[in-house]
Amino acid sequence: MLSTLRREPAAATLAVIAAAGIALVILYPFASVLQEAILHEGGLDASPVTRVIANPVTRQIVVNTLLMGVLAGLFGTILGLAFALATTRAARGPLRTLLHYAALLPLIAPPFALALSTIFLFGRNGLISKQLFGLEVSPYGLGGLLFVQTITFFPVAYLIFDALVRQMDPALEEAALNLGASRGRILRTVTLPLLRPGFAGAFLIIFVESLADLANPLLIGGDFNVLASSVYLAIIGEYDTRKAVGFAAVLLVPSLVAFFIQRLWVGEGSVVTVTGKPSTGRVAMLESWIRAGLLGVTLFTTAIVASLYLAVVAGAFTKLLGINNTLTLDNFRFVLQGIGTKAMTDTTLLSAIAAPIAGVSGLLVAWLVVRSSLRGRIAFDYLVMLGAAAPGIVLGLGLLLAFNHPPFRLTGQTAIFGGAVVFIIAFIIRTAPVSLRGNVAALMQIDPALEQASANLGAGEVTTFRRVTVPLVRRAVLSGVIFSFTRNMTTLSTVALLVTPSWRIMTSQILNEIDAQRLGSGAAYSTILIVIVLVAIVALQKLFGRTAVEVAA
Amino acid sequence: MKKLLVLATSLALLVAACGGAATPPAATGTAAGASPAPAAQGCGPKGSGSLTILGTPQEEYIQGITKAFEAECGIKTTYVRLSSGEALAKLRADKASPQFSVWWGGPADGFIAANKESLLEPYQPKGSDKIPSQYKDPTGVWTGIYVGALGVALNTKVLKDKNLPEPTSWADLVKPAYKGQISIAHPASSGTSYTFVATQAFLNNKDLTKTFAYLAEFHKNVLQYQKTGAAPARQAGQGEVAIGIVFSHDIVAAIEEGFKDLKIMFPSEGTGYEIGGMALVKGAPDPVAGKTFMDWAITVKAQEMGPQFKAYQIPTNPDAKVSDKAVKLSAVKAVTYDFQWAGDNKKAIVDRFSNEVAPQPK
Amino acid sequence: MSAYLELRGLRKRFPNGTVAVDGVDLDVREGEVVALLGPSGCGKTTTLRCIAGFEDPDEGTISLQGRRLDVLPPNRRAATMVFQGYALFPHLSVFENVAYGLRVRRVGGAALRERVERTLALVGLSGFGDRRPQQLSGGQQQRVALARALVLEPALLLFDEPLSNLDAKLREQLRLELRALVRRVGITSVYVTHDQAEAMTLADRIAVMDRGKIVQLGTPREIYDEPVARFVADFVGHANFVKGRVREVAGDAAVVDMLGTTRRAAASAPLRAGDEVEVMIRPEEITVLAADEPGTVPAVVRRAGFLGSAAVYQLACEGVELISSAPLERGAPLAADGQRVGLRIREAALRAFPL
Repeated sequence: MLSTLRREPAAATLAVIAAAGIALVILYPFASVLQEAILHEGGLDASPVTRVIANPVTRQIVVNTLLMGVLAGLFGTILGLAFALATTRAARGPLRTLLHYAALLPLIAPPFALALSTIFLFGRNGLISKQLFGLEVSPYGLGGLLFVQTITFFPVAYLIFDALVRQMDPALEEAALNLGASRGRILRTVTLPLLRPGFAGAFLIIFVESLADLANPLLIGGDFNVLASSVYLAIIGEYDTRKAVGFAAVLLVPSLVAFFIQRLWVGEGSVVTVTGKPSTGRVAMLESWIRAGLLGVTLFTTAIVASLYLAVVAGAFTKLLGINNTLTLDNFRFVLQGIGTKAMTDTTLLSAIAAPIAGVSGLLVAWLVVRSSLRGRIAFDYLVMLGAAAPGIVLGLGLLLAFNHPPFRLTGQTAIFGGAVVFIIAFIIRTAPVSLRGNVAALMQIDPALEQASANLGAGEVTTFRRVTVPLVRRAVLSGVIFSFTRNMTTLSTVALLVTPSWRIMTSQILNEIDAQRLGSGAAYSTILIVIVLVAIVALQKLFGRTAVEVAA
Repeated sequence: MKKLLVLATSLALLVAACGGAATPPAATGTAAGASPAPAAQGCGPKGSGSLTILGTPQEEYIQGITKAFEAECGIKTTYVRLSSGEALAKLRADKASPQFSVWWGGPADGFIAANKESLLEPYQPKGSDKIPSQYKDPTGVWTGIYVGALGVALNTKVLKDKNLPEPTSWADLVKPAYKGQISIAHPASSGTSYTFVATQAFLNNKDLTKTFAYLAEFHKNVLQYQKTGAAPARQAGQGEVAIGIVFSHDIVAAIEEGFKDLKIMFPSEGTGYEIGGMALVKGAPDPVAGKTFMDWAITVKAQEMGPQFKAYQIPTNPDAKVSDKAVKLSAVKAVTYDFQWAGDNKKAIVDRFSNEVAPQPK
Repeated sequence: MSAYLELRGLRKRFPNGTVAVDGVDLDVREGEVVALLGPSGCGKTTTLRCIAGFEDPDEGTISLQGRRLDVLPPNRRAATMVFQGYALFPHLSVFENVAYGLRVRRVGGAALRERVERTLALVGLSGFGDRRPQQLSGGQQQRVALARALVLEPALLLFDEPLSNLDAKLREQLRLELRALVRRVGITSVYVTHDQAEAMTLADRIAVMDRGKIVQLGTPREIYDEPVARFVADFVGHANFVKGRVREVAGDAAVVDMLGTTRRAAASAPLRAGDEVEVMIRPEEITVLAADEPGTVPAVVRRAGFLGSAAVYQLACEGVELISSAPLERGAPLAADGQRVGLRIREAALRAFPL
């Protein structure tokens, strides 16, 4: 350490700052959850947790949660695979581009948006299900949840498979073809086995995301209760922190296990870079009956995605979609004249403050992990990843428990800046991990000799970092910032427990509208949110050059 | 015994007051064109100049009221909307360092329950002597701002489509035919829903065994427990269910919003009602501004603002004009609603509901 | 009187346990070019990186001009390096690459421009300043890397196999250019390479390294002609090794029984009569003559090779395989495969190493 201080003073200083930061904003909140879960009045008492398992009612919630995660993981993975195969092996030209964008679109959907339009279109009085086909379907419950979650999360699987398919050497398939195998046989014996790591990765990521999902279970879960919404209701409805912590602790276990298995399994390969257009490989098309099947499934999904988005917009611009389809701006008037304008500016401001901090702190920690020779630097990596691994509601609960009392009183409108700091912290710890992964991958591609050359030419660590490292990882940092901004704008679960009257968060306002079943205003909010996110992505890209939308899965 | 007497008198007065309010404007002397009380009437000292309200009625109403107060009295006012049960939980959680100055709106039961936990600071707003005594706590723990009856929202189109008869009583609602067709909020979060539960208790003469037997049957027909009391009106309006149990003024609001298939039904056994309360929070961040708000909130001007924000409750200030759209309470058969009992037993009843009724399979 | 650059007892062990540098002492005189030569893994690059500061030695000291270097961070050592892969900054132009060190030192304006242009001219890249490194050929990139180091007029230049990424022909050409340039600027240099031709061409002295130690330090000529160890003899140039036994010792030389005959060989270490030794014979010291030539050792040609300017023979002699390589005059006959021949071995070039 002494020699490190001498040789890498900036790295050592940074490590101390990073360690303090991580301890305060990541470890402390998690420790607060843990403490509440197993300590009570000075003694060891894990009853909040054991009660969840012992009580048949709450045990059912645990079972429901796992069931939902597993099924959403399976369906999402299969649909993602279908899209990856369709865009690379079954479709060409504009059709391929269409499928590609259809598979990316759900990534920017704010929470509730898809569930909302599911009610509009496929509800008991849905435009498509009831009014078009006269079908009696109820989206409330596991079925509706799985429908929405599959649509919401399959893009993650698509990105993973798409990257794997592209990395695959077309020569392998050509060799199999040359040896006399049919296209279908190649798919079964060569292509799919080569995609095997993708199955595990996609399934586990979607499993984790599904477990963490708060908005959809609240809106269309019906009687199908899950852990994330139970944590939320325990706080909002009863402010029973011990009850909430019990659910949270139980939810944390499968989430962390699945997340870190995925990390160890898929490793750095899990960082997937998506460029705007799918590449045209030399790979050959599949046999026509497989192509037809793939195109059928993916085009049907595309139609659903498109109609869901249209329904959000339609819901926003009509009086009461499905009841009174008169075009109106009333919903926007209601939103913008009310709290909506403040929510828009507040959320955008907080997101915009947090995004560059998340992007840069991801870079700084990545630099420590990849470049410094500090002992235990890998611990930084894993600790920062906790912020992404834990379900947002658990993180939010941790922040609430940690920062609603001295010495760090940051929540509530009587705290400093009316509680703004805790939102920024929440946004940062939630999105810095993605920036971290992107920057780790970017730094690993840079020859260390470049930084050594800079040092050798007389530049100190800071100058080297500023003049050599940063320009070379610029794209990764920018992607991290864009990702952070969009995620900040659209996250609900992390901030749902932290709302204050001084700072309005759009997603939480949507939750209020949905709560009161004001679906039109909910749709108007969602539409505004989608527009802000799209404008921000395009503007940032225009501003910083031709960077592709990069999404770290 | 004395309590019962008070209650009986209250109810009589209530019905009388409502009836009176429903009579033409001349009776109250505040016709639409007549000059209201001077603007400055409710604007007392500004305190720190900023105020945070915990509001329980529908958001549009809270937002409108806080904006109007801000414009009129120059005190920057922010709010958080939480349903009654949530608001109580929040006040409890914030007890060490309260975040809100005033809790505004929601059934009085919630205020009585909060007072039991010493979360409120008695304050009798200036001018509260005008408010009839049955609409306020004698010691100033809470002061009534509006009154409203519990109703049932029926979607006539859905009922017709499904060939279901229109229910006319609480007893009808437990018939198996309506399985999955009822929407109501959860009494733990919603004051509306708790009013429904308490109403069933009063119909059963506070016999909880009988009450919970009814609730267990009722539960089988519920699609999903909502968080917010007014939501079932719109859910029924949207056609997702046939029946929503909500305050009648929220049904009026939903119909106003365009849910044209909705209809208000008052069960034949009699229904419960709420007195929407308002109270100063104990240890409030800015009690001066909070008191100014409370003084203002019972002025005629403030009390007449409801309909602007689709709030069709009956004001408690007898001088305030009642909207034509408000439900005429005189026409409603009401149960004998014991607010004190409902408030005192709220926690126990809600816990029992959460543990015994809500988790049951359907 | 201390040397210009002085390494004392340098030792570096890596976390995985390998000892990369195992007690290196080295003195480099001012203006001198010293090559560190050895096979990969011999510790030459680690030694260089210790001088540059990219590795912390576990033991030992490094001094430059009498001042301790090893206590300074890498960016405060006036020892600039030309990297193996050049390490040119891809996001900067050629000009900015060369200017980088000057800007760090807060040189700016006309002075900066003048020094960068002059150095680019020195390496023959005038007019290339606006290009990106990726737009240059390998040889040009190499020269930019050199210019980037030279422009700082450092107290010490470090070369880390700077030519190893180039193809053979370009390497040979640049080797000569580099020598001329290094001589011209006269900066003291340490040059790491595994290519003996490069070391021989460029260096005033060569330190041959093996397993973390300097085995021999000397002029190219000393290294070639008087290797002190079999390793050096084997690594530098080609050599035949023939087993033999010392008959008697006479001063620095030993009389050795070998190849069925007796030869006098310089002793690389003290020897005694009866010692088993290996005797180094350079291929060019073996001349293939007719079998009946007097004073020759009989042998059979296994394979005769024609290399244009030279003839290379693979020979069998007393059960030992020998290589001979000798200039071939135009039109001179080449012995045939299987032909019996006589070998003349030049005694002056033989060296005996104890087994």
